[in-house]
Amino acid sequence: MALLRPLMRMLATLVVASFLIFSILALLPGDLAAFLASRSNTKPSEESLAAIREQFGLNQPLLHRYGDWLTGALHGDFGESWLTGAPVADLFAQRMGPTLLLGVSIFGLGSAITFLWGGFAALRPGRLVDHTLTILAILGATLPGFVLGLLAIRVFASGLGWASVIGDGTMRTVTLPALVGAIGLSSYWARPFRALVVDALASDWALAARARGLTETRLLFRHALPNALLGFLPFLGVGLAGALTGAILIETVFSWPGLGAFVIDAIKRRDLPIVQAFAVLAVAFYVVTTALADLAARALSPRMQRSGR
Amino acid sequence: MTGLAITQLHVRFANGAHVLRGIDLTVAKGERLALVGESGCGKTTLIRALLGLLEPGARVLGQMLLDGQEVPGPDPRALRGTRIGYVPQNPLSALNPLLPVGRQIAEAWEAHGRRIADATLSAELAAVGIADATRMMTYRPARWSGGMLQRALILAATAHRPALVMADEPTSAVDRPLARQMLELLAERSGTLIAVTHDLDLIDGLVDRVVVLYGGRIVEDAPAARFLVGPRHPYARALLEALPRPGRLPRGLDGDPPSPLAPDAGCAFAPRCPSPCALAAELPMLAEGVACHLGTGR
Amino acid sequence: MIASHSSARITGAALLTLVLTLILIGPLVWSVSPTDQNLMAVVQPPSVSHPIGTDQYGRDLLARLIDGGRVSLISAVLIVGGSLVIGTLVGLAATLDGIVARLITQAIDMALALPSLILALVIVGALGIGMGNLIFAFVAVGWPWYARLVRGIARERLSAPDILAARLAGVGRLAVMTGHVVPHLAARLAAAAALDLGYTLGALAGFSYLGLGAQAPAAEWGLMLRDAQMFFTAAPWLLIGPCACIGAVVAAALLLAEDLAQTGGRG
Repeated sequence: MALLRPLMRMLATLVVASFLIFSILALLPGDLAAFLASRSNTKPSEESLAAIREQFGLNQPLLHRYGDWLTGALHGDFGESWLTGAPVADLFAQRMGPTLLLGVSIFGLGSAITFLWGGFAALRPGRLVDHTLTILAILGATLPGFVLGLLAIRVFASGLGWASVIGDGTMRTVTLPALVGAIGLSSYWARPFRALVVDALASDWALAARARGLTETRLLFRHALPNALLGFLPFLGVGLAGALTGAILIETVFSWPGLGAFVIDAIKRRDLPIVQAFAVLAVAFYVVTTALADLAARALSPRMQRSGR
Repeated sequence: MTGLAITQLHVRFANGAHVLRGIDLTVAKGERLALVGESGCGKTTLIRALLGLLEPGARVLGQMLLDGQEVPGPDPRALRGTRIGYVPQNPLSALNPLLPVGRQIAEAWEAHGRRIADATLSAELAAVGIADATRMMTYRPARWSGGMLQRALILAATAHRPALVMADEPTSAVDRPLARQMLELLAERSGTLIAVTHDLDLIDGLVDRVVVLYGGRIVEDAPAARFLVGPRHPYARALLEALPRPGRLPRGLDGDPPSPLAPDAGCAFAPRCPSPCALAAELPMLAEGVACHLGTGR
Repeated sequence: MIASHSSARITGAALLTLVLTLILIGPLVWSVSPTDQNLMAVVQPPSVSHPIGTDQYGRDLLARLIDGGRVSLISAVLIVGGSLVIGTLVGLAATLDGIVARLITQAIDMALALPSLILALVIVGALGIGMGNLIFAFVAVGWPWYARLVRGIARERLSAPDILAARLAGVGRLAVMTGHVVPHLAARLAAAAALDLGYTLGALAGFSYLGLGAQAPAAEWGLMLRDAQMFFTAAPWLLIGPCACIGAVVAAALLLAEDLAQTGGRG
């Protein structure tokens, strides 16, 4: 029951957000007519515009169009590209793989760096490792991902020749872009994670566990880390979604053949069905991920436990 | 020599706080001692110093011997739970909230390389008064009551029948009648017992001796029976008068306890002392169980 | 967290002063045009006549860095200022009673549950590309953070005993807001705005880098990096100026925000 409310809330957010995106793109002056005007040198006649509006159903009331679009979207039909007429779903399917590979790599590598880095810093609060963490985290957060990416290409790819400059969307070239994304991600993550571990190690129950004769290693792995990870779940949720958003920039830097660069291109060409589908999917992914992380944290928290085990 | 012998114990924290300022304390084997004082007087620090669990950067000076052997010694971890038991302050926050209670209590054995079968653990829990122990031990702490957790924690602290058991306010988180039971259980399961407590009226008949700490020093050290009827140090009298008694209102103590950061400046209690004293600028030494220039304080 | 508060403040202030000096005093000292092309001197390494080199059209990079900094910083300040003002008003409105305030509260929470950069992308997609549209889009997705912060502080203040006493004594709601709530917002809003300024500058540069913000031939730090994209393997100096400046502003913002958050603007 307690989990039902956040679920309803998540659904409501999804509906409102998709409607918001739909109406922004439908009402603001960038509609199909403007798109066509920008494509051809001659201004299209009113008749041909009306015919096109009729053909794409653009003269229907907004709510009606949203309803149609949503029904289609729920069946995996996101309309057709204005530019090429190809189904948006197909265009996305072709480019989803590389984006997922990069996003998951950034997330995994970022988590690994965070846990090692924040964990070590937490074991030596106030010492050299700890201070280094703080300074590196600020430095890491200082350079936006794409700046870091450009510098990384210069140093590692074209400078030292360790990696390929151009990403081909496969495991072979994923290391450098993933590392760049992971450094940005762990710069944001490391300090909150460190604080959670430090809090756990300084808690009443940690003192009591030490007084039972537990080693620091056992205290860390059996008691402190599970507690810190539980508190860290919401950060992981936002971070997973953030890894996807950040990937757009990193994809462009590394010429990664994913969704990001494709969508940026669509925005420039005002191919709105693509922008719309991407925005709704990205928002849905973000909302669902953060909500799930939140739900997981609630479900695992000790207060929620109903039955034994 | 058996029992606990502390000589000239000083503890200074990294921030400069001089929390313990020369503690001399001998507790005979089997003796039960109540450690009394306001928060910040150094009670908890004394306990943590014996366990070797002071915060990083704390400096310890002086000697602590348990049955003639130095504590916390070169391997403090091996001593914890075996030679020295510790009952934490607030049972509700003294166990990891994510792990079943049974598995955490079992650590009292496992941490010292011993396996304990579930059935044995359940029997041990039942022996300290936990009903339905087999089922309860599989639950996480949130489903336990404060009193039951306290019993489980007493079991964990006394699992190896340590030579010294220290309890940090074992009665603060439970109801009055339960508090008495807790103290009884503790007294029954421990040899030498040091119990930090505020509940002066609960210790009657359960402890042999009362030691009062003020500003990091012992200001009174007296047999319990005499202390409860006639404390000698003015601070100890104020503590007893602060207790509710039939027929009179409790009288509070004005002023603040001395800061552990302040350097020594004569009698630490002088600013709050009701009796004028000509020697307030000098540090009173512990003599005949009381550290007061006015002798008996009368 | 930093070694000491004052060192964070001094480093942050020094970095900010350095960049501001470059942008404000720079044009007086360095009067080279940022848009004049010279196809005889393209992608030149640093020299006396071009202290940090030239780009692929032979434009002077120092002049572009100075000019671009003005665009970047003014845009970031406009965005942060706009978000702050709107967010503060909405946040205060959310503490009033009644159905409207409840709806506002709901709207804030919902807006916070959405990924702001994606929404900004949608708005730019709808309005068309350009710096003005980008600024509008950033304000449109930026205000809810300030609204939440202000709402939290205001609620806390409104339930404080001295405010209750003032209300009981007949002081009006508006007077309470302006006299007892708004003054408490300043320090925490300043810390949030400082942090946001750095973040916004980085995000703006990112959008310009993607080609969604400032348009050629204008100079903007992100756009300069975009222009450098094709040539920087051979001409790494194309990266140095914009990277150093973006890094300096973001670092200054982080350091100053940390200092403000810890001292509350005092000390």
